[in-house]
Amino acid sequence: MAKLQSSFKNMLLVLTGISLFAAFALASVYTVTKDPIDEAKAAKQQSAIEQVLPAFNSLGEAEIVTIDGVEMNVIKAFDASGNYLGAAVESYSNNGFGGEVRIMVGFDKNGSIINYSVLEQKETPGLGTKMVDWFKPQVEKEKSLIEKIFGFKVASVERNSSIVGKNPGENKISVVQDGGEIDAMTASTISSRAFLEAVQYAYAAYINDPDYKIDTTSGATDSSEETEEESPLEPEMVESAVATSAVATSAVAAPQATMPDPFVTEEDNSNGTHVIEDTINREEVPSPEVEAAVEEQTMPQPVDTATIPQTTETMQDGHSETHVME
Amino acid sequence: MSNKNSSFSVLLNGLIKENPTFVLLLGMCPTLGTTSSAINGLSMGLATTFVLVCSNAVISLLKNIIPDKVRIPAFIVVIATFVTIVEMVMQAYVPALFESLGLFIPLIVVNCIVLGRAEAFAAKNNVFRSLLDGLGMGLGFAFALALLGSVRELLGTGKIFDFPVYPESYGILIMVLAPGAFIALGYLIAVINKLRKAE
Amino acid sequence: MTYILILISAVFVNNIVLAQFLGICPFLGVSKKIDTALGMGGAVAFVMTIATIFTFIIQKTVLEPFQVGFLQTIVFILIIAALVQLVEIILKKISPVLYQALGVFLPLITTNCTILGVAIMVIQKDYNLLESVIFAISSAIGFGLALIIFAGIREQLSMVKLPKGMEGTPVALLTAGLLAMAFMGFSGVV
Repeated sequence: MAKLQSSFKNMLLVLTGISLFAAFALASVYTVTKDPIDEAKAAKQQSAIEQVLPAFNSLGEAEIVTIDGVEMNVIKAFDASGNYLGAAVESYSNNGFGGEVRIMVGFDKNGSIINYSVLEQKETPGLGTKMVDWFKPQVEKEKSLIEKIFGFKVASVERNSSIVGKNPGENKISVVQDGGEIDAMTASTISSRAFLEAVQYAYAAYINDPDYKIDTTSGATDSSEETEEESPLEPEMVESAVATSAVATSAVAAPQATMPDPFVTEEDNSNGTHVIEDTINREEVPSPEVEAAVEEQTMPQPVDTATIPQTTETMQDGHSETHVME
Repeated sequence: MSNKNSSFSVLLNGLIKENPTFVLLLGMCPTLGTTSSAINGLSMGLATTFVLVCSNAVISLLKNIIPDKVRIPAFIVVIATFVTIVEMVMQAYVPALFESLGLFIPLIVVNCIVLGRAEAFAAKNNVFRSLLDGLGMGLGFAFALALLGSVRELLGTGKIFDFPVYPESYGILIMVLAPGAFIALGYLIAVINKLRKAE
Repeated sequence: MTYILILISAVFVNNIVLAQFLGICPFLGVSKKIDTALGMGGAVAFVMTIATIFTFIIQKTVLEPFQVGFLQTIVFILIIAALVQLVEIILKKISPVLYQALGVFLPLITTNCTILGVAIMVIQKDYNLLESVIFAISSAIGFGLALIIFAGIREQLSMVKLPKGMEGTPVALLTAGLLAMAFMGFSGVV
């Protein structure tokens, strides 16, 4: 078993030889696996979209919408005849207990939530991580082995935590503690708030209306900032945006009698700082804009499907990408 | 040197007598870090087995042309190559598993078992025996990881390999979290120690 | 300040040993006495910081521009191995005293998951160079902290009578588990 001598030449030769061979082997495997890896990544994105939207035939390009510095992707879906079905929005919140919570929400053409899927989260296992299923309609869990053998079933607690089917323009999508309709996860209010905040941002991106204000327990929403950025870019878009904002605010104004209107108090915070308030006890003073809008429209109307595909605004590079219907 | 008895005993050695996790106490990092469920532990064990078998075989093939002074860097390059191959293949064909194992796949390259066996066995034995040794050690490691993963998953979530055994709400959640890894492994080793002493 | 957050997160919330399971081998092997724990912690801090800087630079200047990201594992581990050798040689020449204190741990550090783990993590987390350095130093501090606390407990444990099967590694693991549980209390701080 004689080994090569440890002369400098031998060492260098052997090491170089092995390294070259290694590099060659790796480059070969890389070229073989490169496409499957890319496909796997694309499939993951695709399956997330498929999970949150009904059966669709084609998808639009991902449009990037930025609201309050939250950059989101809006992907529209169409059926075989090119009819608009709805959109999937990838949104996130940085206010989770363990950091970023990233979700994909599917909205139908009326703005109601079809389904959601949690893409990334770092919440406490067993507590915040329950968000994966908590906000969906409750399902009967499969019986475990012990339950089958001994013939009993552990009862599950009824809760009103599903956001599926709810429309953030009509229902208040926040936890009950903040005056909303949704039951928070047990012992995970912060995770619940972060999740619902991401949903609200997703809706805001979906309707893409500069006057729509998001109600969250943290973070600032200043409508004046948004309109400043948007109007120089897209003068023709503002009209349809105003139309949709009138729809949105009227849709919100309608249930004013029963719920405090969250969308107007930000008028006071002209410097962009947000005051964290207890939404239940707030005194609401509708702004003149909203009152005018309420007078104009007496009935909430479904969002005009013809305009949505064409009104696309992006905050990137100061130009807009107009989506082309297929 | 390759009579049936000897080769078989080489294989069995890694599985039981010198099981890398329970006896040699090597490769603790992935043992604790990837066993939050049985399937994760098993996959990690199998990935490591692949690297072990390949690197043992190649190093044994090259043992006569690697000068002594550069043997560690040479071994590392060989091992790292196979680890990267495993990484890429997993990313392409089992992406969900790749993500749940995360950081620990590239960390196979610093797994004490792999370098240790390369140095202790492959550098001194022929290819066939080195291959068997890699296989035995790797399977022993995979078995240990699968066992630990099963225990943690069963106690923590009521499932084993995702099959529900008892209702999840009765599970001890901490078993699938960081402390549970230490505690489960500690008790497992204690039990095995007791069994070994009783022999 | 992001840097303070990185520090607190790496030392307490996501402690590299107790929450991320990196560096268990030296953690169990070298923590029987407080002095050795200190020495190991210092050596790891030293090597980790330098290694992170080097691997970061190589990643940004070589691996990414040339799109050979898949060579990351090989290149990183070679850099680390070479670095440790280099550090050992330099340390021997410059400061024999320091070499006496840390030197024996250096070979153990090469195959230590912590160094490679941290090097890969800063790339995954997309930190810039300064953040990477702070993360490396903080992780090393977290490692040292866990090590020293553990050593202190083990020194006490060595004086106690234990069931035969539990002696040595099992009880160390159980202690580590309790320590990990304690550190879990920090989650949510950041």
